[in-house]
Parts: sequence; C-alpha cells; structure tokens
Amino acid sequence: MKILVPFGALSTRGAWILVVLLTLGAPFHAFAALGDAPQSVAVDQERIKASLKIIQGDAFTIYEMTCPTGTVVREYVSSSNGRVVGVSWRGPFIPDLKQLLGSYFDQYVGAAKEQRDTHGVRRPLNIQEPELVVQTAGHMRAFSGRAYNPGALPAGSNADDIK
Amino acid sequence: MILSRVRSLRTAAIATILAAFAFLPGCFKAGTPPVAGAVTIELTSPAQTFPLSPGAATTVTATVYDESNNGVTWTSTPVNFGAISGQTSVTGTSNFQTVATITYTAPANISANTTVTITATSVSNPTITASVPIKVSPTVVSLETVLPLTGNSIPAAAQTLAPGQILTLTGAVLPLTVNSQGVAWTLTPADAGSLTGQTTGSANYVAPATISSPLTATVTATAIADSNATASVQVTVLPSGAATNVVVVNVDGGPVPLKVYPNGVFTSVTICNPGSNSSSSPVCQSVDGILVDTGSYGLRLLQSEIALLSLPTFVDGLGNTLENCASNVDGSYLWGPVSQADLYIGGETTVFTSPLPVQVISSTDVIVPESCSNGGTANLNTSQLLGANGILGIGPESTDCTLNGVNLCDGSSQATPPNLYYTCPKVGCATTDSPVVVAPLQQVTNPILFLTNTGTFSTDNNGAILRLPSVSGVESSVTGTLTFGIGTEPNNLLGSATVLTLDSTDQFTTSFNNQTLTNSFIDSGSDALFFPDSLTICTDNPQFFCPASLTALSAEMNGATEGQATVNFSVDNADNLLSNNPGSAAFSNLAGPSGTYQSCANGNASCVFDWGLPFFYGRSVYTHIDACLPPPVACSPTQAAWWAF
Repeated sequence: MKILVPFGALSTRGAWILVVLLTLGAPFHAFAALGDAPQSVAVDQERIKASLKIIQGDAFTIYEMTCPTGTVVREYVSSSNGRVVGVSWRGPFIPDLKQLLGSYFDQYVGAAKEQRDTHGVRRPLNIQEPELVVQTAGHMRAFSGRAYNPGALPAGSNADDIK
Repeated sequence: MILSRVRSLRTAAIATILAAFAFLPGCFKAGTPPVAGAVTIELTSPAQTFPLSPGAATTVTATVYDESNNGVTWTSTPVNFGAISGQTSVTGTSNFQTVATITYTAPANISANTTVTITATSVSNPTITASVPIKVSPTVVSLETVLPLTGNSIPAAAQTLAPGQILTLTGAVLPLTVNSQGVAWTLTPADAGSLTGQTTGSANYVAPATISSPLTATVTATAIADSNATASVQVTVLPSGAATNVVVVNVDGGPVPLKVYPNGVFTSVTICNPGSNSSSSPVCQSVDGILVDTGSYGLRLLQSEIALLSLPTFVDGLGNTLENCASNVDGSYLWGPVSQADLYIGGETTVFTSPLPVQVISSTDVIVPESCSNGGTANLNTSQLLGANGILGIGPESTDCTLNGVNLCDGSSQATPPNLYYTCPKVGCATTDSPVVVAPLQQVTNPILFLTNTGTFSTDNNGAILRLPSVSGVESSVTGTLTFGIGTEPNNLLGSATVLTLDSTDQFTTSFNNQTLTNSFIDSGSDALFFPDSLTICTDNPQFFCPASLTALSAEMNGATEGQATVNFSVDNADNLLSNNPGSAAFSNLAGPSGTYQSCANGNASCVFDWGLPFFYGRSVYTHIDACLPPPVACSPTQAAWWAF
C-alpha cells in the first residue's frame, strides 16, 4: 500500500504533488520549496487530510500546514517577490527536508556533514552561511527547526519572524 | 538436458544441479550412468557435529562418473575465505568413475559465523556441478556469572560489587571440540582485587575489602587453545555497596580510538540470541560503548558489534522484514531491522518477559527509503560515525513511536508516520518504499519496560535513575551509576526529589532570560545544554557558545501540572574548552544555541531548552516511563511520564 504523506513521499513523485485540504473557500495551493514560488495544484481530499492556515502579513504570507501525523510546517512567502524565503517545522516527525529545502538541500547536507564531522556527535545544527541558515533542535518525537535565506528576507522583516 | 545427481552424508547438503526429472538420491549407484555420455558428481564430507574452528580442516570427496575420466575442479565461496588444498585424484577405478578428495582449511581468523560452500565442477562438462556446505565459526569464549542464591548461571554482563564481594564466573570455549582445553583467567589491573579457585572452567573474583573511590576491573577468560578468543566482564566495586539493579556508567570519551566523545555517558550490555542457553554455537556478546540516552526510546546496536549473533527479525506473511528508521536532530539517521534479543544489563535481564525488540543498525550500505534517508543525509552505521557502539534509549515513553502514552505508529490514532517503519523484501528496500503501520509489540521498545532483577526478581520496569558526580569545569572522565526502577527497591526510592510533570508532547517549560521555552526536555544524549541566548557563537564550533569569560546563568523549570525548580549553570568558551583539553571527556560548562534569542523572546511556540548531560553532573535524575492508557482515559500521576531530580 502506498501512502502519500505531505512532505513525506513527495520526492519520488516530483516536487509539486503536494496536496492539502484547504480551509473554507480558499483557493487550492501547494507549497513550494525554499526559494521557489508557491503553485496551485488539484486537491485530493481522499488522500490527504492536512489542514492549511493562511496568515496574511505585511512582509510575508505564511502558509501553515498541519500534517496528519502532527508535524506543523510553515512556509514564509515574501510579499515583495512572491517566493518562499523561509520555512520552519515542529512536531513528532522531521518533514521531508529534501522537498522543503529544494535547491538548498545539497548545501544543507554538506554543511550538516561538516558540523557532524567536527566531533562525530549528534547535536542541534546551527548552519550559518551567506545564503542559507538552518537551525534545528529537539529529540526523538519532538523535533523543530527553521531554514531561511537571510539575503532574501523582505524589507520590514527579519530572521526572528521565521519561527 | 543436465543429468546429475548429488548425495551427501549430510542432510544439509545443497544440490545445485537437479535432474530435470526426478532422479531421487539413492535410486541408482554411483558410477552407473543413467544415460550414456552423461556426467554425475556426488559429494561427501564427514558429518559435522560442530562448526569448524579457525584454522581447522575437513575433507570433501567427489565421486565422479565421467567417460572422459577428466575429474573435477574445486572452488569455495566466499572466495578467499579459507583454502582448498591436497587435491588427490584416483581415476578409472571402475566404470569411468573418478574419486577426488580435497582438504578445506578454515581461515585462521573468523569474525562471524559463516557457511562456506565447496563446489566441484566437471572438467568435461562445466555445467555439471555439486556443492556441499561447511559451517565455520570463530572460537568463542562463553562467560557466565553464577547467581548466588540459585546457583544458576546467566551470561556475564557488567557488574557492580560491594567491597569484599565475591563474583563466581564460569567460562567455556565454543564451538565444543574434543580438545577445547578450557580457559585461562586474567585480572586487569592485576591488583584490583584477586582471582581465586581458578580452573579451566571457573574462577572467583574477590573485590578488595576496602576502597575509597569506585574501582573498575576487568576479568578476562582466554581460550587456552586459541589466545585470540577471549571474553571479559567489567566489574566495578562501589564503596557505597552495590546492588543487582545498578550498572556503572562512564563519561570516558566513548569507544572510538583516538576520538573523544565529549559529555557522552556510556555503559555496556550483554546481548544474546533470544531463548538461548548452552549450545554449540555462540549465543551472547558483550558490547561496551553504549550511549545512555534519556532523549530517545529503545536499544539500537551496530550490527558489526554483534556479528556472532543471529537475532530473529519480524517477518510478515509475504517474507518481508520489518525495518526501522531513527531520525536524529542533525538530519542523520539510523537504519536497520527490528530484531529480537535477550538483554542483560548489570544484574537485570529481559529474559523473564519476552524477547526485546531492538534496532540492529545495518553495517552494510543497504538501500534506504528516501523518506528515511531524506535523499542524502548521513547514515550513522559505524562506531566512528555514531561515536558509540549503540544507543540505550531510556526516555519517558514505552516505544520509539509513542507520545504522551499514545501510540503513533499502530494505526489507532493517526495516519502512518512518514519515516519510522518499513517492510522490505529479503533483497532489501527500494528508495521509493512507503512507511507502514506496526503493532506496538513489534516496535523498538524502551528496554527498561522488560527488566527483571536477577537477584531479587523485582520488576524494575517503570524507570531509571542516572547518577553522575559533580564536575568542576573539566574532568578527564567520571564514573556514575544507572539504577533501574523507581520506588521498586530500597535503593531507588524517589525521596524528596522534585517531580516535573510533562505536557501532551512529553515536554515541560523553562523560563530563561525573559523567554518561555515550552519545548524543554532532559536529555543525557545531548552533549551540552542547548538554549536560545545572545551569547557569542563559537568560531571553530558554531554549535556551541563562546563567551569571553565564564558566564553564570539561571533558569526556572516548570512542570506541566506540577514541579518547579531553579537551576543555576555556567557557560564557558567552548572553543577554548575543547582545544585546551583534547583528551578530556567531561565538561560541565558546555552549551550551545537552539534557535535564536530574538526569535524565542518574541513568543515562538517551538523554542527549546535541551537540558543535556551537564545538567546531570552532581544530580540523580529520575526518568519515569509513561504507563498511561491513551486519552481520554484519565491518567494518575503515578502512571504518567515525568522527570525528577
């Protein structure tokens, strides 16, 4: 049996088959990876029961999705260029970071490996690179983290808003 | 058409070539060709009661019918594992029959039980082959301790003893052969107590009568016939006395040579094939360098460290094996089958309950589903990568897929979690495999749930107490204890400890520097305190803080419904600490960021205070395991998950 999981099994199906059940009357959206623009897709309400909350702000539109397995993922879409400039997650399971970080994923993997190799110990990441910040925390069944491109944050916002 | 037949004196012989129609073994005599021009090979070898020991030899004889009298060539697999020698061939004895005999010699060093396949191939017709399996095993010393009350023996696990206490050990050499000769005994250091009553099968370790600080000694049994085969048990003599529900833990840098794991607390376990008792094949292995982790659930062992064992897995009706994925906070993961084992730790064992589901971390580079591997993050499947030989996850939940008493993986409460359990065919998983639901009894289980004290037969299964001495700045290493059970024996009473209850995500709140950090937890598997602060981030180690000088701080812990405590701690410059103390393992002032201060002061619901190992120095920290039924069933405080110290 194949079970489609938001931010889970997507990497094998292409990045855009992310399906969400929207709140009343809202248009259908899919989330984009960091650096991309959000796109619309058809909704398969039979398969996915994630809930979506859209929070409209001055600098960002925040798309907050609660996965059916309890993990909350937020995407921060810049009001100035319409692209995802930050993502965050918290919950019992780490979301699919390959899907979530998109073109930044390889950079994340390399930087994470470098931090791990320093001592060979599992500990929270604090990746601070010019175009990518990744910070993680937590432990088994309680993970959290965020990633953003510090150079792409819109005017009137700062890194503290990505949470 | 292939015409061949194979017969062996051993029932397990493998016929690699079968007649296309049913010629049953024994239906006709060797040397009587069923069809003119055909070739037949029949292999025999002496009956193998015990596996071959390292360097031991056996013979294999091929009786070949071949009108060309060309005989056979010999091969063995695995290749370059042992040697074939002394090929003799007597041709044309009668009826075009050739009898060829070889000697197979096992390698001098064997790391795991192995079945070698010896194959004879016809020279006249290379499509005709016959094979026979030969079992080979390392020489292994089986070490057991004799229980004082019953006189029963159990596999030797690390022991704590009181001054003057006597520990009786028995040693046997496996596989059993006619001249195993037994074992010789050594004590290291030689003056750490004494060995008395030594025979080739048993010895008594006598702890020193008086000591002022914990003393650790290792008793080793070495096979007299093979000095490479040894088994050891670590004994720690505690001035305060000892009990069978106590095991020693060490902050000693871990098991990887030339690599110091800072603030890692390690113990050792003995793992056995489930239900095993004395038999001709090795059944138990002791593994040291096991990280004690109150931030995870379940025992996870590197396959390479238990290579002599054959732990059964969970297999479904289609022959698929249940595999487990454990994600780490840094994006790395552990992958391998859920396996059933008997566990001995200190004087506690799981054998009175049922085999413990553990994760065996696959040592080979197998294909891992992308939803677990995340397409490229690190698979920590060696001791160098993991910094340990395994992880003893003894946090406050019962399995690795339980939260607040609710099982998230059995399909009862929610959709299948994205990256925990998979079922894969024998050939392995595919990158596209999807996760599956799993019954609770097949999930990787907190080992404490299954523990029984072999001395008192008390079930010490509701939690544990990790006690470490104070560390003032930096120490090369420290020794502490892990006591099983809370309130189950005279030495594990809660007393006046402060209890912190947990919320629906098994976390509590820490108030620190005008932040309310709702996702707080106590984690012996974190090598530092991690929290959001504006302290300077280190240059060399950006996962740590580097204040200009030692900085004293204070935080307040608040349990979900009860418990409050003020905790004072200090943060030192991690770059200086680590570079100035390259051989040291215990650091009381190591801390690093989790998120950023500004973000968390603004009311971020996911902000974390990770009370890592420095919190344990100078404390007794109790972890009580959730024994509640899922909501809405009310849960009494005595059943709930909590921390106390």
